[in-house]
Amino acid sequence: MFQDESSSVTSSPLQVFSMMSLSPNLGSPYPWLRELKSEERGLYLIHLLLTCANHVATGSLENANIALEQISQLASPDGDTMQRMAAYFTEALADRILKAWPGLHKALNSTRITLVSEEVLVGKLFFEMFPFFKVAFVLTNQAIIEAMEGEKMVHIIDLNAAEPAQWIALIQALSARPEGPPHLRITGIHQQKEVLDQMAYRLTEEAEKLDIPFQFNPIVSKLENLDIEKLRVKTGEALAISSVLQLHSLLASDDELLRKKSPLASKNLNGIHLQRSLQMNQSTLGELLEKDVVNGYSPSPDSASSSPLSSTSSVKVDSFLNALWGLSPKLMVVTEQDSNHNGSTLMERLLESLYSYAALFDCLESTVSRASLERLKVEKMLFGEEIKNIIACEGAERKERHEKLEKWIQRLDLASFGNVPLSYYGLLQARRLLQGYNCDGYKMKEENGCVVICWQDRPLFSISAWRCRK
Amino acid sequence: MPVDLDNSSTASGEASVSSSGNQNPPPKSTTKKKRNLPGMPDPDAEVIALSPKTLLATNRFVCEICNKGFQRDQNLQLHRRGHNLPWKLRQRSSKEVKKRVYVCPEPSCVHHDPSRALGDLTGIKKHFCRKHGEKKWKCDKCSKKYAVQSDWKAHSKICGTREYKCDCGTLFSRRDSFITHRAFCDALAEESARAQTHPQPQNQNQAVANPSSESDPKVQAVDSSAPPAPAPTPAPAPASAPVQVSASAPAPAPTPAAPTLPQSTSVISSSVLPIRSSELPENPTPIVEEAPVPAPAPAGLNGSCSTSTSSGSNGGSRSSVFASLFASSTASTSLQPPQPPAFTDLIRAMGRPDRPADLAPSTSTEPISLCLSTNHGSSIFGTAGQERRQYAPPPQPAMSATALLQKAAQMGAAATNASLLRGFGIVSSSSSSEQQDSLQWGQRQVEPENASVPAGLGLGLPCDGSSGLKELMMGTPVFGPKQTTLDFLGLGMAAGGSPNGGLSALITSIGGGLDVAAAAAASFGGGDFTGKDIGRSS
Repeated sequence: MFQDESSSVTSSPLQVFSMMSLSPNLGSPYPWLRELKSEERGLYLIHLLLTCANHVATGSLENANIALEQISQLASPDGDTMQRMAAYFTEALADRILKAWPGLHKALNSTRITLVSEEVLVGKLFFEMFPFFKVAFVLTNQAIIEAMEGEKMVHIIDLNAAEPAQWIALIQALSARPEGPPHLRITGIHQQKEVLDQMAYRLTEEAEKLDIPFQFNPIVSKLENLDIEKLRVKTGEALAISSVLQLHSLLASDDELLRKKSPLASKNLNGIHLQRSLQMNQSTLGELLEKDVVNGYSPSPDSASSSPLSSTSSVKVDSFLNALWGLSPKLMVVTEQDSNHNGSTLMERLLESLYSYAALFDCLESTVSRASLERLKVEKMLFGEEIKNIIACEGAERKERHEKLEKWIQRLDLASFGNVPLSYYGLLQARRLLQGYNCDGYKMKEENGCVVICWQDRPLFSISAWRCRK
Repeated sequence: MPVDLDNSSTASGEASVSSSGNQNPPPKSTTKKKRNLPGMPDPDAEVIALSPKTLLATNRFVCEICNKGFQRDQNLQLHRRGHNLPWKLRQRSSKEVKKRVYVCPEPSCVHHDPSRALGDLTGIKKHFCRKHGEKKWKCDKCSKKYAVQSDWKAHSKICGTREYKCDCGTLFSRRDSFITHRAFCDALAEESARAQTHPQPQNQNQAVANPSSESDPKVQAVDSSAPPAPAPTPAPAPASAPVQVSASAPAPAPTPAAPTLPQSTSVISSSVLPIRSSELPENPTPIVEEAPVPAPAPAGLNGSCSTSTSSGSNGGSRSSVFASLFASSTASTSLQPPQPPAFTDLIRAMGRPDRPADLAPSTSTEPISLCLSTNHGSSIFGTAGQERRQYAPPPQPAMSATALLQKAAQMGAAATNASLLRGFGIVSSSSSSEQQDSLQWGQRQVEPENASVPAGLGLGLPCDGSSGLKELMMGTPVFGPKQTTLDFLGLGMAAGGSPNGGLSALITSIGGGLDVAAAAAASFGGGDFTGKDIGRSS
């Protein structure tokens, strides 16, 4: 049971109070719920969501159940923005409650089918319906082109090779270089072989069309289990790495365990964690670390532990970044969500994610019709799943650990990467792209050389470029 | 890929310029640059035609190391020194600088002709952007777009600060333009013509003082002008009152009928204003006509009251309307007393059956009662809800989730102001669970009693908040200095606070309860924290 705070529960005054504070004139609950106007309903949903989350956090399941019941009267995946959001958030909260009964939870999820084709489709939908990926691709490509000026041999590593459009655009741009196209290699990493096959096919076709020497290397692997050797980075070639929404999952770790271990010196804690992780993931982290030691670059445990960030849980990501650093990339472009969904308590994460996903849902509401099946799919299979992960999961299971740009900057800086400001021309292209979407809500701002894409005022995604700093 | 530095090319010599430039340009002196009269370029000047690319380019000079852009080569050179790169500062050419004028590359443009060339490089750049460029800069508050950043900045400073409104709906931020406009405004002329039919020998300065004598014609005037009404909220911030009062003086002489109109409406408006001004800080809805008003309560207010207020503003001279409005609302001390009698007069007048019932009694009295009785906190679920059902809801899209969350945060913030103590108890218990090292004492005390909502108030609480709390709990219960800490923790915040803080405040208000209060009181060294102490701090 994920009980963040041990507490005794005084349920009834709370219940009555929360009811009373909002609806003084109205008597018994259910009948009037249906008559609420959209805005009132929205506010009431927020209120209920917060109340429910409160109950879940304190372990008062009876009250949480009541709140869920009430929300179910109002929420709907087909309704307005707030109704849809409430539907997914309550599903996440319910999932969280259910995890207290692991047997029950597993049984209910055992027959779930996840079709690869559906996942791929949702990814494509996200690419089409929102400008975020497109802007990220434009900026990434422009940064790569600029960094690779004059290079004859270019090697690009894509940490999540799912969308060919990015590299097709790059191939086209490189072929139009004044000094002629370079010899291009792209290494794509993904968990599904079919996706990589499709990508290989599309990219090779495009390169042949433009007569560019090209090679695509697929690697079927989870990122955390990635074997650096497989990347086959050769000496003499200029390396660029593109990471789109991949690094945050590396922040996942067994926080509960770590927190309970010791509240004292983080060094100690890290030592223990390192040991445990070495034991647990011997084929991966262990190998990575060993290899790094062999290569002459030894990330001392101290450097990992002295990180001011959530030091204990960042070992995975730190070692990954160190491994990447060891490849001496000329450029690494990192796109990440720019929200803090990695708070240690449920309520923190709930509040932050309410705002972030409100922005995303609003964005869909403004650009796509309510009846659209595609919209429903994106909301359910993409956002809904992310929300479920943020709210219902803990520890190593909770992969959607989005963090703010400042934290990423710190982390990358600690890993000896130096920031490369995104160029004016890249920004111009990105802005033009956003304007082409003809939607007022999309905003783009530049902060310290990094770009943040916002919906209205809410920052959603950040893009930054880095080089290897010796 | 840096932007090409397409340097200027002289299109022609100076001769062709002279056709219009035959008026005497001021003699060039070597000591000081003289400005030519606008539109008449110096006939001796060199005409330069730059390409659109050059004109649009900003930061043409880019550092190759870090890609930082600069507008001038000199700046770039100085920057390059920092990278230990070779740099060279070019000196100004020693010979006399030839005067240059610039033409616009767009063939259809007036300034394409060398005789209409502009004398300033920055000027031609801005001109090109403004007229032939895309408008990339958008104002946050309204929908105006600009191509030139400085224009946009200038506008943003102004936007929302508009103080003057003409009947015809035009808003002005400057008094002189407002007055000039009014003198020529058609709508104005119409209104004053109509107002002729109701002879009113009223001095506009005695606005609120003599309401009773004018109640009848006032009301009639209100009715007649009500139909063309619903203009959006005309009431600008009361702060502009002194300006307005003085504005009434130099106003073009209003017809004798005109001043009376304001009287009635000023009465109505003044009743609205005090409430609305309290609305304003919470809901900074810009005074834009098409903006859908997000919050229902002000919308309700606006919808209902605008008929009355705008009818007022449709009256004769706006300045006098405003003058009396602001005089009555802002000079609160002196003018409060007249309001009640004005009210009763108005209500009495409204209730008269012989009136053409454009303003049905219900609609005119209700806004008043609404204004009087509502407070923004309860308005959503209270009277405003009913109000809105009577007036067809404004044709606006459903409120976005983001806006709903912000509203909830504001409501929570407001509610929390009342429940400071409860918030107190909650923060202590949650922080204790979070910060193990810093709150040992609190922890021991609080956990046994336990707040009913130890709602992980790490929500939006900055890390430092816990140290403030620790101080609070460890130290003596001195509330004076701690007030700021509490605010810092987001407990006593105003509506302008961070959204997260607001939502957390909402939670605290939800989670409050007598138990928590008792727990908090008991936990803080018992007895010392009486309600009196708490009350003192809030």
